[in-house]
Amino acid sequence: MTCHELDERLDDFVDGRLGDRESTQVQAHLASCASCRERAQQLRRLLAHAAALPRGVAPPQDLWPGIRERIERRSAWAGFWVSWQPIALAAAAVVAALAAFLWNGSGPIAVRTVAMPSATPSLRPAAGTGTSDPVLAEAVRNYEQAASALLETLQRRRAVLSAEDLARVEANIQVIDRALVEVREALVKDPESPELNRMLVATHKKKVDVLRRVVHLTTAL
Amino acid sequence: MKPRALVLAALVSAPAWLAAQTTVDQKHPAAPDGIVSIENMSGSVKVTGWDKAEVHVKGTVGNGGELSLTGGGGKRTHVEIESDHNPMGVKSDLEVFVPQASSVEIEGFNATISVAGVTGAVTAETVNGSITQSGASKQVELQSVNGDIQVAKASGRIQAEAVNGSVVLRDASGDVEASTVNGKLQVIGGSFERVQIEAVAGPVRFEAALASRGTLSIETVSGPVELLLPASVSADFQLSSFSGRITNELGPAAEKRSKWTPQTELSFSTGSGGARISVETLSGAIDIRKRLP
Repeated sequence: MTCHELDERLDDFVDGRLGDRESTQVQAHLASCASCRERAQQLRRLLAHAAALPRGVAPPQDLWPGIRERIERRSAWAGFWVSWQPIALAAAAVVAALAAFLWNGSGPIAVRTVAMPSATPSLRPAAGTGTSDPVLAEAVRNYEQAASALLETLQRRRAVLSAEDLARVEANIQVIDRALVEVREALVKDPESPELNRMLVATHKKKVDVLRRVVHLTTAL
Repeated sequence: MKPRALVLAALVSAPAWLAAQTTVDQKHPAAPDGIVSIENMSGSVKVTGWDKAEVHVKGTVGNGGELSLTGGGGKRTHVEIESDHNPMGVKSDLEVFVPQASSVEIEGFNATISVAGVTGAVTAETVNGSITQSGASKQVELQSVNGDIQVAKASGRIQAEAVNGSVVLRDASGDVEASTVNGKLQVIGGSFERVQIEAVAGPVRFEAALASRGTLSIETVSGPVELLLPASVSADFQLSSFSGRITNELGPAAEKRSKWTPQTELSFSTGSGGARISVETLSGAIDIRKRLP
């Protein structure tokens, strides 16, 4: 198993969601790779920290019955529908894994908000997270932080990307930002829709995934 | 014009970079089921599995580049175009033959990648360029930013991610995770245990079979979704679109969920159920159509 392959499975491994065979492969790799071992430890520490945060564990009591009802309404589809808690933890894990990734790739950076390279003002997400659910709002904020850090890193690596490449990446980020605007507008009409709330977080995650991939590939140069 | 004159004319008109290229032809013994890693930042990489315990690299290396073919004595063989300056300026086209049971890891940037006849795991990533994989690889992981991805006849765990390009799987099987932002995403032919598809704006088309307890999950924001399924399919469907239309040739029509929002939902089963099909989209249309026999 390569470090890259381990990266892909680390979240599931830490969450205990891997099968026996893959879990054994991950353990074998961790035993022989100090940097991946450190990354796994960082992720565990962050998850433990996130679990200790009151808002990261469960929605406030007044919101929880409604959310639970929505989930239970779809109990026949338990495999398809998930509670918000793992989503929030996953978002926090992304930030932790990203911090480790950026540290390894280009030295330490501060995670802070930066402007989109070329997004038009009309495409910028509206103020706020777009969701009234505090757990999901936290997840969205985590993804936004991660996207900002990646954009900043990408800006620093402009020298290795042609103007055409950068334009393509930016065009696709704008496609995702347009999608986020669409989801937010739909959430205004139906703020409690579990599908829309999940789509909001999933689209933020997609943006981070795309940026992370481009940054990773530019790191090879 | 006589053939000799044609050759001369071609040489005279050849671009400067072509004249600076070096032809390479190197071999290295390799384990039958080892790992072959390949790095070529610009140009092309064509990998073919064969029945020899040997890695053979042929092709041309651009000016300023040098082919490095090394084996660590164990199971890993490494192929790399090395350069003292910007590797993007070294355009190299490599044809690499590897033992067919090898696991292959390929990294490019402005490079097209193709892999055929490799039964081990295949991992490939590039920024600008297409990736094509064909043959019964047991595990496939392909990533391209500005390029199309095509997978044919792979089985096992398949992951394919594009950003601007399309993702097309043909006659594959097993467990699929595929995503794209803007490009089309198609699964044509084959049979699957689990399929998870995510798209933002690109259209999705699924025209394949699911195992009796298989799962198909598709999520898009604005991309339309088209499912072409045999009329005899046994599955439980859960479809939802916030503002797109849902059409269904296999069962009942969709209904609005609320008078306050345009959201439509549709849950129904065909046959005795079993397989689970879930489609969620924000503004994309969902079409469930009968596949012609």
